[in-house]
Amino acid sequence: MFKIFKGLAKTRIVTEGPLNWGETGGRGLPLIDGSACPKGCANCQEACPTGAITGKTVNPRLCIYCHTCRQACPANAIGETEIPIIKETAVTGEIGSVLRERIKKICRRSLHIRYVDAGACNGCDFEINSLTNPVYDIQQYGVDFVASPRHADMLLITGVVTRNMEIALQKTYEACPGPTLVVAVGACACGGGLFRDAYASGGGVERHAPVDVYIPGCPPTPAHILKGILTAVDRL
Amino acid sequence: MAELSLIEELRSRSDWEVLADDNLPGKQAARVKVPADKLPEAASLLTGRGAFLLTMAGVDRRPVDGCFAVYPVFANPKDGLIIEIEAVISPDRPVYPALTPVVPSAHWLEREIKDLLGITPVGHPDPRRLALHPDWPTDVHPLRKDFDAGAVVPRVSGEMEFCPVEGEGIYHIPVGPVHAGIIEPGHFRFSAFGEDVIDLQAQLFYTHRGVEKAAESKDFNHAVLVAERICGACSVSHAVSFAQAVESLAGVEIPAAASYTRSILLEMERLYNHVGDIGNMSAGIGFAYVVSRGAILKERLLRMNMRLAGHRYLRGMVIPGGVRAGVKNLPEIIAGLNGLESDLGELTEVMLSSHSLLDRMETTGVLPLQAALDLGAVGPAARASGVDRDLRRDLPHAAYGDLEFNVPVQQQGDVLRRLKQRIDECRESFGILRQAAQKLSRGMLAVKIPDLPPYRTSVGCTESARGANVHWIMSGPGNTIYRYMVRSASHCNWPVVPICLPGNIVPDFPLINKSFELCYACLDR
Repeated sequence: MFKIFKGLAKTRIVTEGPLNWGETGGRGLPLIDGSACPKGCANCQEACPTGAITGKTVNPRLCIYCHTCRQACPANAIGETEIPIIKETAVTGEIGSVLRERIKKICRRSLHIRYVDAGACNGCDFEINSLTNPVYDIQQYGVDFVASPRHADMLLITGVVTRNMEIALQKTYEACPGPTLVVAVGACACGGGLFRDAYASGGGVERHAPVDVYIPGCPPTPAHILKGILTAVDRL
Repeated sequence: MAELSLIEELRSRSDWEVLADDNLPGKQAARVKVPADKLPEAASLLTGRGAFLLTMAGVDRRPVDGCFAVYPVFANPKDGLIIEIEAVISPDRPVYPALTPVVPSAHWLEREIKDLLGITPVGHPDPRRLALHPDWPTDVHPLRKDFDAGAVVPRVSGEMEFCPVEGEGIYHIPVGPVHAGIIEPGHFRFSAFGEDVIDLQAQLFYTHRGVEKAAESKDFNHAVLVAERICGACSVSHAVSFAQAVESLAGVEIPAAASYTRSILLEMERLYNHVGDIGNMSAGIGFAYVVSRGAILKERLLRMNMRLAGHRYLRGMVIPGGVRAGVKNLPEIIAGLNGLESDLGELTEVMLSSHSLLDRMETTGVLPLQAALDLGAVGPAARASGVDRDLRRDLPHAAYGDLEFNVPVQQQGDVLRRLKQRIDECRESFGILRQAAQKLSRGMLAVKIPDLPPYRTSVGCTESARGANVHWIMSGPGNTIYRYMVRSASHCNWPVVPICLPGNIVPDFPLINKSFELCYACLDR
């Protein structure tokens, strides 16, 4: 028991907030500087494993942040920028959108999340788990994960949505009291990533449920996921 | 030399064709072509000599030479000998005598071959479906070359098949696929009497994405990105396994700086997994202090990864031919690891001096040694039961041949021993990292891979935090992958989890499950 107290005293407070997140965002979204491109060069477009590059723009929902394009660029014309969080206005009819606004207001300070892995590689799941550690301590924002979809205001979905998870995801979505906020986490959930066209994969969450917020990244860092969750309830 | 006579013995069979082959890794390697009906005989000859099954792949070679083939791959740990058996199977009647009766660890591999390729192992004791759920049509085999990956496969009606458990007072607890916590999906069915578990059956493969097919016909440089994304928590291990398979197929040796970098990455991956698991196992018994402290230490390690490689899960570092970039900030990270080692020591001291923890963990979820050997359990779970096997030592890869480390082994195989095993392995990992940091020299980080000869096979394996990750590839034309087979540590260990359950109480399942810390994504692919 004494050792436990000693350990507690030694560790002190490790919890961080948005102002002092002690980590960089990692590999960002490739940013192509068109003025530096050699004429007629499409190396980056050809090198991209997911077809996320069209012309000089990179689609953040399709990008898997592997930076293969940066390696392929002969002119060093590809920099990087912060990965955006993409907010959608989910189409759920007029009553739905009014309710949605009310939900956001109500959930602003107390948000309950049900998480579903619909065919992820475990990376996003590890990072969502990290949100509950003492460093990120998601509960300090009034946000918590719940065991049942019946208690959830928000569905946090990772993965491509595999054929074998499709029905389970649908049932979970239907079990949530509506309207449910849906947040897609990670490259696979946002656009299917590398497995978009695989035979057992459904190509991302949007084909199965209306998505409010996309959090791209492979996997997105915990700070990024937290930003996305707070964005979904208009707190950022 | 017993092993040479093993080769000689293989050569002595008139209808077996033995090809000495240098493109498989290890000191010695051989490829044996046997008639399909002699597969069990060949396999039992090898296992009788102490070899164990690494992986087994089925291939649809019909577009190439009009037939199917299966390739069981064995390793003889005594001297790093890898033996690949090849058996050609007729396309008109795709059957062969099952290996499972003589090599039980092939059981899930063969069921998968039946599901995904439609090649039937005759005499398999459990012919139920595995990778494809009951709502897949029975005549659809996605890994066949004539299966169109873009096609919409209709859902048919079908029920999950569970072995019946009946009797007065027996009740069933279905759990999942969506679980209460932040974990991956899987369906478990407990049959219990009171609190005691009589039987546990699992329906997995919910996250089956079709990874192997996704890598097919991709250039190997793109396929390594697929390998990295099989699993988040074993990214490096999968990428290195794949890269090794490509390198040995091409006959390329990677520079020393690259192999040391790979060892550093592999050990960092092992550390964050082990440290996370040490803390997380206590979540199964509600020891909040340890859970939090473990999570803090794990977060520190993930942040070191970010400083080291620019990615918390170390993705984007390993490429076929070496590594893409050198590790950064190494001296600072080694200093950080020293501090972390002493903090971890304090934490484990608290854990192992807690009587309530010992009470819950000791004699809980015992994996018997014989079961671990028969079913081919790997990694810390197997070593905690007394299986002295570690591919870092037995089939040296990356820079492990030049690094000094011990392979700790426990005996009783319960949850506590799996915890202690991880604690011991962490100690070794700190040592390996310090040595590797010292020996890591500047130099070339990658060599160019020459064009791959088409339709050749190769295997690459690493010891990940969970055990052996074995990648088997067959090259296609134009530097593409023709067939990619991934056997992860979780693939080996999932079948042993249900064996540890009977005799324990239902509330101990989360604890036992956490002590194995298996990955669903690695298994389901």
